[in-house]
Amino acid sequence: MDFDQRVDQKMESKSWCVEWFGSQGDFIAGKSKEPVLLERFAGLESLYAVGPLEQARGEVSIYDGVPLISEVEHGRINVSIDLCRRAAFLVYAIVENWRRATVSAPIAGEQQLREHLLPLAVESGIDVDQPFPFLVYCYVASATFHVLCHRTEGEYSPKLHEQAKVRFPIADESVEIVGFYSSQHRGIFTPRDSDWHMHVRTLDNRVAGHLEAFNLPQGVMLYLPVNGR
Amino acid sequence: MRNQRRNRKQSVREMETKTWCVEWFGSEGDFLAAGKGQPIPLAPLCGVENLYAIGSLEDRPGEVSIFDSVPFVSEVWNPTEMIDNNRAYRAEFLLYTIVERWHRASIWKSVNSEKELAAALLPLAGVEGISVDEPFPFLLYGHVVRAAGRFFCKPDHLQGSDLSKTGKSRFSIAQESVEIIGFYSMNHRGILTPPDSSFHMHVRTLDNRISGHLEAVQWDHGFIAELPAKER
Repeated sequence: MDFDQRVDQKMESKSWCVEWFGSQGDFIAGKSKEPVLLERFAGLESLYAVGPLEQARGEVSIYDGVPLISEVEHGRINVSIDLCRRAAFLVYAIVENWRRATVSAPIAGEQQLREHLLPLAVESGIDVDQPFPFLVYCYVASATFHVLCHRTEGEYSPKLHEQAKVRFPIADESVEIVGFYSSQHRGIFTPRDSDWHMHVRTLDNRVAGHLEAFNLPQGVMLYLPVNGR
Repeated sequence: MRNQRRNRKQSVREMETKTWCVEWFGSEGDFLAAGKGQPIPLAPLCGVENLYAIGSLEDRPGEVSIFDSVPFVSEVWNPTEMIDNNRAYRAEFLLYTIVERWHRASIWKSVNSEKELAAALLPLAGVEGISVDEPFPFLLYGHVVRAAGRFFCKPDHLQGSDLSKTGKSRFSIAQESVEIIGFYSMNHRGILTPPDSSFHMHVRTLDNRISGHLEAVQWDHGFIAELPAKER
């Protein structure tokens, strides 16, 4: 089944879908098969995606069809919009409509985010045993994200993967986060030790990358896919 | 000025036919003309889900902004412009909408005027099946280069005070991320929108430090726009 058929079939039954190409486990083990051409997503509306660049050269974050490519150059992040790149693996969602929920309580870390996100998802009719996407807008007191910066050729490995992570802070800024939650896909599109795969961007697109830790004292605006058509 | 006020039945009827509605109490013209309005207590609005509203405080130079049922009230004499959302207030004029689901679109270009904003928003509204001859709401998120606004009050309230002279009734924002709740109507100038504009927008900084009536905004990096989603 080709890409368009996969999307069409999923979207027939509901107004959103989550799909992925490749896996995080294969990528880290240096066993990635075919890289994911971002061009295949050209013209696709309402698309949101996260993943690493091929050969761990950076990060791919797609917000509403716009691909942000993050790379580290001379110790600084360079963010560009470029569809002519390839991802090592990619988890993506197509969401036509979103339902908004405002969380006024502070959120410090994944566990507190889960405590708010899952009840709201259930309330929205989302099966939380299946993967689902979400968006967050918020003011960040402090956060840490990484951008992969693997320079060498040759076989990739878990050790090299850890070494390739260049970490950056965000402090006192407003951000958008695109995230995927699944308790069933560790090592596939979430890390082996987490149910989350989230990417962050500052609203001026100055920086973007893989979100690791966060402290959101002002609460968040949370968006979940609307079920049904 | 015609005081347009619709009853609850009309609101319910609107919500039966689509997943959103726009309603209002009073008018901006009546508010500025002073003395004709009927203040609306904000407390009964608590608990209404998916509510977005903008308005002016009764007898005070201040603004009411409700983002997803969370009320923000801003007043000029608070020196830090902090927002107190725990006190009870009444609004002289209130324009509100209930929107269950939003459709998002990203605008990746600079927008520096209401004319450019209309050029960006109206085609999106058309895609969502929204009649641009009727009032409709929208949300904007993004990083603004500059934004300016003010806290409206009745003209008689300014007499004898130095608010207008000191400029305290105005605020400005530079290089910050904001959320904007806005309403567009080309047929309600002086009622829902100022006499010289088809937009009525309120802004808040994402850290909730400032909120109020937006007069001008400049975006260099574009923004995320949300419009009520059409029935699919």
